[in-house]
Amino acid sequence: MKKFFVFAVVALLLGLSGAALAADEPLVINQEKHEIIMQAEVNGKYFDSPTRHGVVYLTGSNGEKSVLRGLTSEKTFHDALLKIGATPGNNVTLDDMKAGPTGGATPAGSKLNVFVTWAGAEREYPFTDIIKASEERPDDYHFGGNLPAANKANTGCVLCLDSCAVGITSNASYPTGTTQNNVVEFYGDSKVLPPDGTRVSVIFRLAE
Amino acid sequence: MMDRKFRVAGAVYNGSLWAMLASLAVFRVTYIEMMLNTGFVFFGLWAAFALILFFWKRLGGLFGLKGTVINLIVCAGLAVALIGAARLSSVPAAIIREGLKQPRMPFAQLNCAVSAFLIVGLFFTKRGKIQQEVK
Repeated sequence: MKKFFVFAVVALLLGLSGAALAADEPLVINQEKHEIIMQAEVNGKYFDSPTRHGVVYLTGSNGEKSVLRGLTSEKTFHDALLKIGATPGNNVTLDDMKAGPTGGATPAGSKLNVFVTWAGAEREYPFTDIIKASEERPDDYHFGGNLPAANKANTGCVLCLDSCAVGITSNASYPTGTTQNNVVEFYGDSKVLPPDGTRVSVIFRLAE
Repeated sequence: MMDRKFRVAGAVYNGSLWAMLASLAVFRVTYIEMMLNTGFVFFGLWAAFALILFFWKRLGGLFGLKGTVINLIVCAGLAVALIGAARLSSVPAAIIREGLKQPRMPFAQLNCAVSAFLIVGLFFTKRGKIQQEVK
């Protein structure tokens, strides 16, 4: 019995070694190109299970609930968007999150073109290409803003797959109420994305 | 004394099966899965089920080697019914690493540890019916 427990503890410790969470990684901000690059990691859990979160900061309360695990804080990301000249919408409220299957709100801030790439990738993939949606619509990501809500909720939400009152950016193609009412389901596309744990770069560019 | 050790092993082993099954059921409800650390649910239920099986001697006594093997087969079947066979290689591992707060632990590593636990753990369950301790 003792040997079993010693074995289990050793196995656990070996597994835990080298798996510590990293600190907030710096963003690459290019003000001339109006571009931000954030490092992230693929979370393979959502290749086959639905989620509403595209990119969430690792240590946020929703850190393990997204297709990509962001390595920079959503608050740092919000400030970086301001630096590249983006304007936050700050128009979607928590009341809007109670919307029904239709008629929900969408973020009004600056439009962003979002891409994902990684070492060995053939190209930069538009974010829509790495997501499988039960109802496909074009990417229409906007700078939602929502810093006060983000500070209060500490979810870590950087990019939400439908419109959101807490995520810093979200997709206006899917209004609030989309995922809460099971109108659309989102998954990571394992045919496009690299395997679980692979580091990727998420590129946010201010649309012209 | 020997029976107590087998009861502990049986309680821990079978408790883990029930806890994972319950966690998979929680995981299936997307709204709840988005709100909770499903891993905490797993580890909490594991402790609870193990304690129930240990202290409820009549119930725990059902899970010698034969009872445990039957339990393993039934739980595996229910797990497949809940999430499908393909997701068994990722979802349980994802639940465990979320509970351990180790998001970077590879699925393959966790699956090896789980497989080892499931196989080796059977050797610690007693063959034949577990006798109640004589006080």
